[in-house]
Amino acid sequence: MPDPLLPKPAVQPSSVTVNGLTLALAQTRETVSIGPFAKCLPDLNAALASAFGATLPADFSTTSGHDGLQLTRAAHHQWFAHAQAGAGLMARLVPLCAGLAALTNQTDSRVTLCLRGTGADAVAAKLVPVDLAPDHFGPGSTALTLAGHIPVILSRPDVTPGLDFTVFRSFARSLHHDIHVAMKGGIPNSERV
Amino acid sequence: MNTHKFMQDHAPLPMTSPTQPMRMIQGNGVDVGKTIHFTFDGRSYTAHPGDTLASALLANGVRLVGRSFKYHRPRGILSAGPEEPNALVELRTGARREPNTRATVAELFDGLTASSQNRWPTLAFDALGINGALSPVFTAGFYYKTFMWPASFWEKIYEPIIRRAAGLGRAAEEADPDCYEKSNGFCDVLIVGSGPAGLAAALAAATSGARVILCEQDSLPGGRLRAENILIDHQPGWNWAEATINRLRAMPNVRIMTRSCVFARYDGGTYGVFERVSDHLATPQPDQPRQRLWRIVARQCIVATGGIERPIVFPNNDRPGIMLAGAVRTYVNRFGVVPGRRAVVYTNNDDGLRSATDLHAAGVQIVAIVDSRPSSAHAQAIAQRTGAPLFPSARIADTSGYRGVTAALIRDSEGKDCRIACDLIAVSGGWNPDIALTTHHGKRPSYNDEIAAFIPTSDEEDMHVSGVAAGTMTTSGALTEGALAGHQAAACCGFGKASSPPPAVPSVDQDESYGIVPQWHAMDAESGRRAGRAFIDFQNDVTAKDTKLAAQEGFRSVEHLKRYTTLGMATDQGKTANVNGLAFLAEVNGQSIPQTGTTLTRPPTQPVTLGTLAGPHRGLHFKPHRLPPTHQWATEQGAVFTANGLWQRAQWYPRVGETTWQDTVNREVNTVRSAVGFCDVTTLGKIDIQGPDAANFLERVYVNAWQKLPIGRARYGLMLREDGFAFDDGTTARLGENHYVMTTTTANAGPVMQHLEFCHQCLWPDMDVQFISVTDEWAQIAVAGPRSRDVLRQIVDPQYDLSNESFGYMAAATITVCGGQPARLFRLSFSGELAYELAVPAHYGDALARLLMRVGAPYGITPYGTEALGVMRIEKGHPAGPELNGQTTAHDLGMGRMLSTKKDFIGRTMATRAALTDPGRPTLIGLRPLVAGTTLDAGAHLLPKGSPATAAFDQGWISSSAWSPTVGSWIALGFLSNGPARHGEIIAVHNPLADTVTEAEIVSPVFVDPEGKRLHA
Repeated sequence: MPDPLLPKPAVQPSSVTVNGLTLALAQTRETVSIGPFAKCLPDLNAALASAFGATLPADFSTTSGHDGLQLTRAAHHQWFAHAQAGAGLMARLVPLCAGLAALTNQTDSRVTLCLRGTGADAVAAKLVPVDLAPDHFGPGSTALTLAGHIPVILSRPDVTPGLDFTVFRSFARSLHHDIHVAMKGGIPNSERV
Repeated sequence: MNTHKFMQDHAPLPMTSPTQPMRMIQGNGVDVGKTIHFTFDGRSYTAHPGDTLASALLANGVRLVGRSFKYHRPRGILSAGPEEPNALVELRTGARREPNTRATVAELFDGLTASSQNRWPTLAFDALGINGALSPVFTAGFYYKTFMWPASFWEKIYEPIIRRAAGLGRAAEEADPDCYEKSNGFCDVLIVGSGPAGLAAALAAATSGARVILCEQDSLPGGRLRAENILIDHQPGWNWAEATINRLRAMPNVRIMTRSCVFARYDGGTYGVFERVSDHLATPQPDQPRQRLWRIVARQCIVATGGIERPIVFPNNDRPGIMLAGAVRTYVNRFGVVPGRRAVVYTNNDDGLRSATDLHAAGVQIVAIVDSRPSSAHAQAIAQRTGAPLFPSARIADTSGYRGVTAALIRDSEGKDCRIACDLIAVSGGWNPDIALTTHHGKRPSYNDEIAAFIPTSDEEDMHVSGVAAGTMTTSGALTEGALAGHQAAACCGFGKASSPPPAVPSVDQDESYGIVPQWHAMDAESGRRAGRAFIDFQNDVTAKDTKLAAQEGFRSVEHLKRYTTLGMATDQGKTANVNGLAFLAEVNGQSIPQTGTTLTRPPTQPVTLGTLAGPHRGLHFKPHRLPPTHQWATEQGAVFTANGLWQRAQWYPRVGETTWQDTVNREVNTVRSAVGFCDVTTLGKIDIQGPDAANFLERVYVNAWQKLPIGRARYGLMLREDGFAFDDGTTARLGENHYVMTTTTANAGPVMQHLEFCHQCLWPDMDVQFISVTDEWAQIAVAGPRSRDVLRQIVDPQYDLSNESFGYMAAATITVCGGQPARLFRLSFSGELAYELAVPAHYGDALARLLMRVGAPYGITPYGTEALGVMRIEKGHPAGPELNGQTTAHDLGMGRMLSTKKDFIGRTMATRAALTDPGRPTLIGLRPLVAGTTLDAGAHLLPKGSPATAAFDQGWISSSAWSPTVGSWIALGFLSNGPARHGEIIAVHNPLADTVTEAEIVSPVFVDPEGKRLHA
């Protein structure tokens, strides 16, 4: 029997830092998409609430539950459940969601790039047509949008300056390049006369 | 730049610089404490920080800066802003050479190299200046009328000569070394312009709590406050502007963007903004963008763009030294530069008279004030104060000079002429509100008789217009209007109440008078003879004579006038010309100006560079790349890549000793046919489909049946569009009771997903089914060839039986590999060989490729690319993109019998149209040349043997072709009328590009293993 297959990340795992801003590949999380079947959303939410203490957010945002579970609105009538690697998320969800929702493993399909540091919003604004002002896109907010030409799920994880770009794995290297270029371009200084 | 410390209004310089003889006083916008250097046409000059190239040239006494577009007439600086039609220059050299830059907005930096353009051999002695002498024949429409015959001369002779003689600057011949970027901004209130109206608006809106973005195209805020001697709150206007800006900058809800031109208003409150980030530097810092394109989304917009002064049309009104009166004041007050020493002021309004006052204060002799209006106390007072002779009800009938004006011929109210020597004529024909942004949605402005200009018709829900842009010609009025607009705009966004009083505005010590009485031109019966040199549009050399001629020839609409004469075209878009042009047309047509109407402007209001529009998306990064999981490994193998949509796929894997790509592909094909090879097919679209109605859904989107597909089996499916033509194909496997995974072609992965969502959301919302793409989730690798099963047995965990009996053709299963790694295995074959597609989670794709190489080595395994993949699918007659080109039907593809008659599906009705099932339609066939080595080219036309190669005999085409190492011949797939009935016939293959005709035999499209023994092995 050959050796086990070893995973390879879509982009180099080492982070890059430019002018105090850091771009890093997030640790791989288990991700399962949840697509509720017709008229099953209430029962599904009840099941999730009882198991994890969280329900599927109605708006584009992320909520947190027990055991490190996060639920993110990801598309029309579709959510992502995230948990840390090794959590056995699919195995926990399958009995919970049987007959209530389509579950599809998305752990390998998406990559999350984390932009952190003061000025992250200004750099991100070069790529995403989203109003990132705190009162419009605060912690927990999520948006399906384009980063330049690349579709992403944009999210603000918490109150520290930073944004997460979740992208299809095949686009990860291009997105990493584009964000890196935006970082190197600096923070727009046009307020200064 | 902190201008406070060195500016003092109208204080004379301690000593006029010997190298800047026209820098007479301290301007409020330059730092005379520092000296910088630049060159113009190779000659060195000095300037100061804060100068524009135009102000610096004028400071150095340079008046001649360019040649006109058509007649190559000497031209100087007309304006002091973005409306400049004449002073277009080339900046920088080499790869950074930039043509057609307006010297009036080019910020000077130390070391700037500028040069004039459209002249030869020099600016002073331009050989094509002879065009001016030929102006009587170079009238509007000259080209259209003259270069008609012989027609063949146009492309080879006429056009090259005309293009060489006319034109503007030269673009750089090397790739642009700078970088550009884009950004997005959002605000409650966007304010365009930082003159008195804009600043008052910003202050009012920001104080209400609204998020404000203030855009100013200039490097310094203040607008006309920097150009005029006016006191606000008992301090110079520019001083008040700076204090206000500082106050705004201290507010967290305000963003001030200088060097930022709002050039477009788009839908949904979106505005295009062009920011010159580092144009004012010799070279940008590493990675610093040169320019930036902003998309700003604003809930409300206040247009406070001020106005653009227009000249008066009179004979020889284009000589260097004839300038707009307001521009003259800008050079005096902002830059401390006098554009001449003996000035004539020619005006039809009170505003123009201010130039006499300011020039006089700067030490310039006012040799005449020519006022087209009857004498007034105001004009008399200014004439007395400046010691200038006043010519009321007068006009300038002509000028003298060549490289600069030397005299004005003044015709007084009684028709007597008086020639007065001068080196500067400051002209004011009145001001046009700068309303471009208000017309981008097609809203027509209205003509206001009181100010003799077009103004916006009315405010819109999300756009307010204030100050001169709204036709309010006083500073106090602009302040009041701006404050009100800012207050109301903020209220519209929920900040404060519109009904509450707007904030108080600062006082203006003395309001300006305007008192315009239109005089559009100074042409009379006598000077009309020189109408061919009375310029309306300086940039395009459009004269009064051209306009009259256009009207005489029937181009009486202002839109036709523009197209026929080129009035209002090119870089300045007629900012100083349009209203004069249409006023002239109105007069010729015997109409009023409102009856004549005006053209509307479109974005951009000012030139925007292509680099800025492209942003960072250039070169290799023009589009994003999608990389399959094996990309790094394939790169290490020396693979040659090809673009397949956004995907980068390995095209072939060359080895040492292979001299051509064909060698490589032949080896890869032969290896697969004789041993085993593998190919990354991750890029094929993969869609996970689940739900109680999943099977029913597949029934409706595919032409064939799906209800009875067993779990663990896959089936080929064909989709049609609603119009009955083939859309996409692929296999779909049933993984569970209500769980399927569909594959699509690489190119159609996105469109098929859209199609499914459309069908579900719009056509059949009651169907209980869910989709999600799993294209990126799985690294899928095709392992093909007679030894493929042997190779897979090295990887697949032993509890899974891969024998033909247990896992036959079209089987599908969820399995494990390498000791428990989850995977999916499909018994599919695109090559026609015994083949599998093995899918593992994408993170493991790289490792799987390396493992296959290792465990497959004893079996002679080779990776193969898309080229070998293509050869083998042609050998097997499998349609792909060239066959599924959107114009073929199931019948054309030889799949007509797949269309179920027992169910409905997308495209069924339309596919039964007689025209789509006509046997005479070109239908899929195979082709072999009569001589094996004769190339068959995709795209070649198929004709009956012996027929002439004309469209009348065209019966089909070749869609795909390749050299087949298996067949030992060129082979091709194509579509031929009544094709399946013509196997064995010899036909002509015509390649019109190479102008060749060869012969080929019509054969079955399946060249290899037509019985399918290999794939069932």
